[in-house]
Amino acid sequence: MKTNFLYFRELGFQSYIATSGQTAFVIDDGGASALNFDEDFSDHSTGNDLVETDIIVTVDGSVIATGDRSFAGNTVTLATGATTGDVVTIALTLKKGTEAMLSADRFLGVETNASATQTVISFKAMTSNAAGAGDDTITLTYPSETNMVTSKAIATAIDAALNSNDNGGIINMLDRPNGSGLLSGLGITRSVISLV
Amino acid sequence: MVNIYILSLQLHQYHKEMANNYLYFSNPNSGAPDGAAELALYSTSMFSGAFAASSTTTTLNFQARDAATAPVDTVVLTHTADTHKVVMDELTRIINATNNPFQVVSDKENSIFNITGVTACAITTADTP
Repeated sequence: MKTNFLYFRELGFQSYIATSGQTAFVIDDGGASALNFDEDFSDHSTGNDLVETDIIVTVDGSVIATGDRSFAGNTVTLATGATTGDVVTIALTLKKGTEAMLSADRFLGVETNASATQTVISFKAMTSNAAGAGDDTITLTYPSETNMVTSKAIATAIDAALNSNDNGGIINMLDRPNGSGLLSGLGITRSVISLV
Repeated sequence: MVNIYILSLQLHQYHKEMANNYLYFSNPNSGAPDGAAELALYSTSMFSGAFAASSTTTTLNFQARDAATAPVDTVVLTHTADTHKVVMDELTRIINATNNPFQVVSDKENSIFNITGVTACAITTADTP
């Protein structure tokens, strides 16, 4: 009954050095080659997935109140302009769907989806047994492939992790903020954790 | 005699590989334990995964005791900020421990916390005993 667990963490942080009076800060998010946020920031602005309060904005270490900032698409706008040299940070609050460990016992499969750039890892939902609840998924995005090198490497790595430790353990699969994990060398550009 | 010794070793190994551990939590309110889910013991075979719930909490999920479809039983561990991976790592060690099937994770009643940085837990059950 010894169990292995697979660990994943999303990317969600960007910082800026402000210019005089700067109010608008554009987030590099959500797309296949987004460098700073795995989540799609436009979702945060519209409340389709996570909500605005899941974002923390700081200026020189001071948290900006939710009423003093606004969102439109992937642009964050401060009510009060920053001063030259201010360090502005925008970070996704850790919450359900940003960092998780999933049980190997509940692994369902690895499948490419209807694109040449994505592979989906599925697990039985950790928070529900309902038949229609859907699965917990990790969707990995990478540059377009023509010969299944990346997707097969992902499948191979998952297989290795599921059976990696006879005594049970936690296997770092993809820790995006720290650039570590079994999958970290495969050119993956986005990792989205979706928990039921 | 040798055969008995070998059998004993095999049984010990079987326990190490096959037996479940049981995870113990307590979260007392003031006074006598008269509230729902102030104490819980869950089988590791019912543990379905964990996720970061906030900067200082990690949610552990267990299949509900009454076989309800949703929600599952949950234990939310409160811990030092941004140490979720440490919590998950040490929880995995406890789940797979071989020294004792009874494993205390967070026992606030007795101030015993066997995961670094954990200071409290909140237990939520899908059904009422």
